[in-house]
Amino acid sequence: MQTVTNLAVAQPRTAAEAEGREFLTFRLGAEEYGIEILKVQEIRGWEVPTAIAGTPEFIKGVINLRGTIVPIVDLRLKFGLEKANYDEFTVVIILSVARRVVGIVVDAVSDVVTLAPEQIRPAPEFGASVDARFITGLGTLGERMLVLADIERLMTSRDMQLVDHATQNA
Amino acid sequence: MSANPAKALGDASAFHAIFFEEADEHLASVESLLLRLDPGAPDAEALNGIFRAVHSIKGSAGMLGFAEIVSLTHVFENLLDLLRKGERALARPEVDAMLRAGDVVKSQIAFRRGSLPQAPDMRGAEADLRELANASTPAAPRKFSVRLGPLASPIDAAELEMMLAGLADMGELGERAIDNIAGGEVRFELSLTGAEADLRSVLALVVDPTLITIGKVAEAKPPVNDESLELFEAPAAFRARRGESRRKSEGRREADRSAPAPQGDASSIRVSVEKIDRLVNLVGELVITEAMLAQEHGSLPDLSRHTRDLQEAVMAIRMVPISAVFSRFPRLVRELAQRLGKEVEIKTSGEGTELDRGMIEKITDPLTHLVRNAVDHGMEAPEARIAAGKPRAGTVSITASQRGGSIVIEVRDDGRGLDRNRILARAAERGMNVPEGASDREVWQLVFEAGFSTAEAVTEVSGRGVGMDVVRRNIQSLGGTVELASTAGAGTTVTVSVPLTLAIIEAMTVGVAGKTYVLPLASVVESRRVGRDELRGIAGHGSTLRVRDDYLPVRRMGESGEIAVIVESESGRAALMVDELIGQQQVVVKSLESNFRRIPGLSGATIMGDGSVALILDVAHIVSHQGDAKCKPLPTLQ
Repeated sequence: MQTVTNLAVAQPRTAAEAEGREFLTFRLGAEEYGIEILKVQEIRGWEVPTAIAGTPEFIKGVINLRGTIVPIVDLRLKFGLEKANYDEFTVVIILSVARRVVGIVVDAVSDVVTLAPEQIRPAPEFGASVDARFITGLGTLGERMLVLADIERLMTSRDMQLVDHATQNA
Repeated sequence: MSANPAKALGDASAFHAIFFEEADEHLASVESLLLRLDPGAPDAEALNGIFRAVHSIKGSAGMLGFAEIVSLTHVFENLLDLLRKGERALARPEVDAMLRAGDVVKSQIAFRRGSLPQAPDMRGAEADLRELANASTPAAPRKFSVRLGPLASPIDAAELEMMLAGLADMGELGERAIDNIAGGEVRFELSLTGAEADLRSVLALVVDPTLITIGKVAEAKPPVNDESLELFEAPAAFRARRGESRRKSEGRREADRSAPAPQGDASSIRVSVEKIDRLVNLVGELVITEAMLAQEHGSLPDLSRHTRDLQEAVMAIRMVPISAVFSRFPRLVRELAQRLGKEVEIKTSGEGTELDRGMIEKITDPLTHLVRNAVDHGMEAPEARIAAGKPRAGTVSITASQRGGSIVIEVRDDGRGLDRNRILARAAERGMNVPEGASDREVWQLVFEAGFSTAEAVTEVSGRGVGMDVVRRNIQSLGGTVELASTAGAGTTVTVSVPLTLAIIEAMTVGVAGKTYVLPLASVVESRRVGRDELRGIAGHGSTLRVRDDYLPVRRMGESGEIAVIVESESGRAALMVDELIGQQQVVVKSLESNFRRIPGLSGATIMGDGSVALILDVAHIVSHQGDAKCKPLPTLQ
């Protein structure tokens, strides 16, 4: 019942897979996360953003994404991981969440997987980097365990400081 | 006869659409003509114009079975008829009643169109008109027998079908005998509300007018004031106009699918602002790409010219004539003057001056406020004007013109002017510090202070504490300025200047710690290199720079620079220290908020020629921010 794929598009679709949901997986430190593929707009290489002073360190600044100004958040810094290098292998996941476009920096993007409903279990209380409020469940893929995160809620949450909470009580 | 009239007509509502649109045009012209009417000596041509417009509305409304509109416009027309025949003198009450009637018809149309949930009450307006015209009952449905023929050649079958279906939609189609061959004729009976002449003009769309014979079968009620139901417009002219409208509506049908309420000019389509903004963004990108290309491979003159033209053309899509704002003022001034017992004429010019659509929306309120002020505070009562040797009626003139990258709008009145002593007294009352012997200009500035109002009484119109300070704040938030000039007894002029567009600003780029920042050029006063010894520290107050007679607070971004850029905002001036002055250019303003949030100290961002993002500094924040003794960087800027 394993449906690990390296690239979802390369995999023939079966009826069982069609029922499942697709997730983009990435690594943050020792953990592997999965976010809904529909929230992902594109994946880009790292480019140095324009820093904005007065914002937290994990907000790296803003980039020009084909004419729109897009903030870049380094989730590694946000979740206090030890090393956060920027080199030619650093990737930025451009998300489209809550009618906004934001970029996140993670350790590495792994693959796209399809999880059938029975592969998703409720998350027990445990100490993941990401706050339990934003974890929707755990996905099992053989030996791999994916922490499934509600990236939209996470990105619009107060501690991300990406949204004006004075005017928008999210 | 087709079982499905809608199908036969293509779109049965097409007639309605034409009517709504024409009625809107007619009502607009009625209103503007009414407002221009001089009650003492009404212009015959203007009265005729109003009559024609009202008559057209009545005719078409009748054909479409909008009985309420017919009945109101009928009385309206009667009154107009008396007026233009000179049987009744025109005075204020007539004009007011007619304006009101126009409004009621407008809301009735809005209701028919589906944009008003409830049908307006038409009785009041109708009763007023009737009283004035001393007219009797409205038109009732009548039965006509129609004969078309003898036909020289058969009527196109589809057209005939369409006409019958259309008529069935408008009234009740009775017995009919169709012999649609050369030499034959088409006969039918029809009951509907409306004049014979109007029926005739609709039929004339399909057959030669000379072939139409209309007889009255039996009338439910005797016709009232039949004279005024006579044909007014020649059928041929009517036909030409109808034909034109029909073509218009066909051309527009495509566009109408996305815009349910057809409105506005025939030669325009409605496009969502989002689509245009996307276009603006893409062209902005193209401009940047072109600049990059030029940097690397040298400029291609044609490419850069086309790109620039394209950018201008795209920006022009967002431009709207300022008449969109001005058109509301005649009515506003008129009603206000009436309520205040004043006589005020309004003159507007430069209505064709174009402004960015976003700007139009934001400038409407401040301008309305200024016009209200001019009538309420500026203008004297007629007696006072005569006593002062001025014409009884005051004049408020509003003009717009383009000067370079700015639009200048002037609101001028010939009223009493600002009262220096009263302003000073009011300032003293409010505990404001005014230097002895302040210039007029300085005194006028006081009216822009919050809560400052010298109106003798709080009127319904203005003087509720929301005053010139709000106007100034609104205009400044658009990157504009407000200036006031006044001569006692001769009037006041308020000059508002705003940039053409919110999307592009003239900017100065500066370098600080290897980064590029953008300052709106409008807020840069001057810049110069300063030596360390020119900066003086005041304990607890950061350092200051002496510029002529003023000591300006010094603002720093990190350990930056030896070049002082003197910037100015409404709250004053400050010296911003930077490393280098890079240049002066137009930048496309991008919002930080659309994907991110507001950052204190920044008013937006822009994309530079190399594709990088540069931040636009918020000068008001820089000036008002309290720098501290240790010359720490501004909290938002490093």
